[in-house]
Order: sequence, then structure tokens, then C-alpha cells
Amino acid sequence: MSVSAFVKQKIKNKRNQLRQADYERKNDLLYKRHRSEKVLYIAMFIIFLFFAITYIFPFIWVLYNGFKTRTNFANDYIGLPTSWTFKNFIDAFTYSKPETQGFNIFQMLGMSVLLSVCGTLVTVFVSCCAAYVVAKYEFPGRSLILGVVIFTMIIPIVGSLPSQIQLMKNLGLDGKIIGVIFLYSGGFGMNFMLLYSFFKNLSWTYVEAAKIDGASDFRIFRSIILPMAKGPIIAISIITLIGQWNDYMTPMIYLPDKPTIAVGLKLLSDAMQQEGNYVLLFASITLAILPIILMFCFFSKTIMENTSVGGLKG
Amino acid sequence: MSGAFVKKEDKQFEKRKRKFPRTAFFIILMLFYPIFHFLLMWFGVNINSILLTFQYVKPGGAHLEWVPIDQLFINYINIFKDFSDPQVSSMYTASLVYFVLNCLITLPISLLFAYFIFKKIYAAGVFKVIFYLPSILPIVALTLVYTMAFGNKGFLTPLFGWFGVDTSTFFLGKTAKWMVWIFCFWTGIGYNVMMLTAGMARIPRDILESSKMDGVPPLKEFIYIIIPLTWPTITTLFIFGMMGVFGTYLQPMLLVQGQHGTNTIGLQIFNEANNVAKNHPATIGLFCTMIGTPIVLGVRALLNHFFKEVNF
Repeated sequence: MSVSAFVKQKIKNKRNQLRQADYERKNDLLYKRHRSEKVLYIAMFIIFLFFAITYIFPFIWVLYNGFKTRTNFANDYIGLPTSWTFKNFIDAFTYSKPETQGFNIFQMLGMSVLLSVCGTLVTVFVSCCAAYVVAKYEFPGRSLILGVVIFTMIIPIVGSLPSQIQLMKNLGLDGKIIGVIFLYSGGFGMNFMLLYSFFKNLSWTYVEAAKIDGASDFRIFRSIILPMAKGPIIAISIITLIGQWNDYMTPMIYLPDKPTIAVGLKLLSDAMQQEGNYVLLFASITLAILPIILMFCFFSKTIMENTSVGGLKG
Repeated sequence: MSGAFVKKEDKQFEKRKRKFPRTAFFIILMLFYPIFHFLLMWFGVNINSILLTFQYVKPGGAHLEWVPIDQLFINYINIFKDFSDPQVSSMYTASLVYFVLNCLITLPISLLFAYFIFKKIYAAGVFKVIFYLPSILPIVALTLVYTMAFGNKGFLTPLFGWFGVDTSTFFLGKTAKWMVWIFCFWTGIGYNVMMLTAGMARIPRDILESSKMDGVPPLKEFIYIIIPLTWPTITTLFIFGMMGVFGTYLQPMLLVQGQHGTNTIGLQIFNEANNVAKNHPATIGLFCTMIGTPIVLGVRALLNHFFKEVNF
């Protein structure tokens, strides 16, 4: 499927969803409203609209200001550009200063891709292995593992950062890409719990059939379990990827000389604001958030549904 | 015949017995890395954190060493002594404000918003997605856009100017705190709304239909049906909000560098984490964990005590 066909399909699906919601609102008993209720809903709609504008407009403002020249912005910082230019976006890709550790936005994006993709692959795979074994195999200590995982998620541990920094330095992992990936690669946590509940409810029939046919545990995991868990694995991967892409603290502490886009954007903004080059900063912000916005546009349903699953039960 | 059957069974048993080590090997291999990582990065880190609270840097020293046995709890005593410092007490107060903000302001408003989205207010789906947007954007981008909107070339500056309000001092002095709180509310509401609407979506339709047919007004439906049946999600979000007391640090750091009374426990620990004297942030952390854990678990138990029978 080509990209345009994919986008068209997405738009069509969205339109159908909106139509369905509209139909439900008009005809469903649950959503029929009396006159007084209608007034309340109109008032709430106005409040919602105000909130929505506060979320959307600042980014639209950043986007169109990125197309202005410096003079144009100095003369009018609210209106649309008098002449649209892509120069800021081109310059943003090559802009680097000692404050940005000599990294330009392109290299920062590269670092973000490297860390978040590797980190996501490793952590999701490790969580998958752990969740599958704990959910489906009986072995001594199984309940202990589950209990410890839940316990660590409930207890609010404060201030383990100094100790973590010390440990990372002692392990020689401080300042190394592999160190950050190692930090990301934990198998227990929310991903584990989501996958555990999925595997727990997964039918064991296929596995039994495969066992009768003489398939090994590794083969079963690779050829039957992983393909069956494709849906939740993809959803969890997207959420983890976004989380690691946006992570500010870990790369800032452990990779200060190799900034990712989340860290580098702060360095770029400090340098650009010092120069008074706001239009370049606007272009940089746009470039930094564009991959996430695109991802969110395509996978919003997956992201939102799966983020909510984790916190449903208290 | 029966002998052959027994033999066959024995063979199967032997086969299973031979297979057992393979399965055990599989389990060990699959769990080795996650357990190793957990032991090192959770258990090891936290044990080391406790040990750090019994170390100190001698005056003029350059590295951590064990505290003398007669002054074993000196770091803890110092934490209590620090309370007399107005800056430190302001740090604890500023952190506690996030309990009020997250649990008593953002959460109830999110609950109200989620109710209207659940009740399919016009363009509910679109609003839900838009509200969730700040949750997926890098915090640096959000703080930058927020500060620039109020800056001297920001789009909100002329708007406030019409009412005679000068936005240039918003991030200075007493108003700085308010700007951080508004930012936390602005960015935090979407996540709550999304979680709560997901919780509300699980309410059986029959209950809502029967209440509708009985003519239950929206306010009563919200208080007597929606809140009790969404209670597990509310409890989870309340606990998350409580943890914000210790975990909020990026917002005040990126918006106002923790100045103007916005410094929090989390930010203090973060700022001191790279210092040689790691004993101080580690002790603050452990002290807060010791205080926070029973409170969080107690509140959790208390909240779970209400509306126990939420099974559908």
C-alpha cells in the first residue's frame, strides 16, 4: 500500500468514526438530552473548545513562525508570514554550536532514533520473555517474581538517582550509548504487567499441539507465541518508543556530550535565544516534534487504548 | 498387553523426564537477563542508596567515606536540622502543593471533563485526542512553547496587554509558582481524561440505560453511578498524583530553574545527584520514601475501602 493510499484510508476511517459517533449522539437513548442538559453541554463545549485551542494554537503559532524571516518576525510575531521561506528549516538541520556539543539537529535526531529504537527493541523483547515464562510456566519462585514486580510498582521510591549514577560510573557505563540502552532494558515494569495479562489469557491449545508434535520451548516461543502476541507487542513498542524518544533525564545525565533531540532542543533553544534567532528556534521545535506528531496521527488509537489499559485497575 | 502399556507409559515418563532439563534451561535463560537487570538496577541501586545515607564527605575531603559509628545517623539528623532553613522548608511546602494540585484540582476537573467526553459531547473523540497531545510531546518543547507564548514576542502578550497585565514578570517572583502550577495542570489533564474515559467505557450500558429511563439528572448520574463505577481508575490516578509530590522536578527546572520558591524535593535530589556528596540527596530520598510509603499505601487502602464491589 502506498503512503497516499494509507493516509486516505486513515482519513476515511476517521470520517466513518465521526459519522458513527454523530449518529449515536442523535439516535442513541443514552445520549438524548433535555433542553436544560443541552445548555450544560453547550457550556462545556465552549470550555472544551477553549482548552483545545490552548493545546493546538501554540504549536500552530510555532509552525508558521518557522516559515518567517527574522525581519518579518520582528515586525509581526502573531500574524502569518508575509513571504513563506524554508530557509530556517534548512538552517536548523545544520545549526551547531559548542553549547550543543557540536551536534546539529540531524545528528540529535539520529541519536534519538538509535537510543529509542534499540532501547525499545531490547526492553520489549526482555519484557516479553519474562512475562511469557512467568505467565505460562510453573516453577519455584514464580509467585515471588510476580509479587516483587507488583510491590516495586506500588512503592514510591524517592531519590535513587545518586546511587544509580554511582553504580553506572562503577560499571563503566556512564557516558556510553550502551549504558543508556542497558538502563532502558529492564524487563519488569508496566510492559511486563501488560504482556503478563495478555499471556495469562492466551489459549494454550496451540502450544499443546506443538508440544505433541515435538516442538521445543524456544521454537514454540518464537514460532507460535511471538506471532500471536504481535498486536500487544506493537502497541507496547509504540508507547515505549515515544517514552524513550521524549526521555530527558537519562540521556542528559549519562550522555551529556551526545545529546538526543529531547535534550538537544534545550541546548539549541538556549543558544538560539541568546542570538535572538527565534525563527530558527521555531523551525527547530517543529522538526523536533514532527516525528512524534506523525506517529501520534497514525497510531493515536493504539497509543491511547494501550496507555489506558495499564492504569485501569488500582 | 498390559506390560506393553506400562512400558509405553514408562517411556513417556522417561521422555518427559529427559525434557524437563530443557524446559528448566528455557525458563532460566528467559528470566536470566530480566532478573539480573532487576537485581542490579533496582535492588542494587536501592541498597546502595541506603548505604549512601551512612556515608559522608569530610570537610575538605573529595570522596565519600563511612560515617563514624558514634555519628551513624548524622545524615538523618542533618535532614531534620535542615528544616530550620527557610529554603528547605519552602522546598517541602512547594512539593506538597503538588498533592493539592494533582489530587484535589487536576483530578476532579479531569473527572468532569472525562464524563462529558464519555457522554459524547460534540466532537468528543477529537477533544480527547487533542487533550492527550501534551502527554506525547517532549517536555522541553512544551515548556519552550509555554514560556515563549508569554514572552515579549509571545502571542499571549498583547492579549494580556489589552487588560493592562504585563506578562514579562510572569516567570519571576511570586507569579512564577503559579505559572509552574498552571503548566502542570495544562499538561496533566489530558492523561487523566484519557485514563478516566477508558475506565468509564467499561461501565455496563444497562446501568446507564436504566438510570436514563428513570430520568436521573446528569449530576446524580455523575455522583452516584459514574464515580463509584470508575473508582479503581480514580484511585490509581490519585496515587499517581500523590507520587507527584516526590517526582515533580522537570517542570520547575525547565520553566524557572527551580527559582522563586519552585524548588521541589525531586529537583533538589536531581540537582545534587551528580555531586560528590551523594549522601545528602540519598538521605533526602530515603527519608521521603520512609514517610511517603506508608502514606501512599494507607491512602490506597483507604480509597479501596470505598466502593469495594466494583466488579463488572
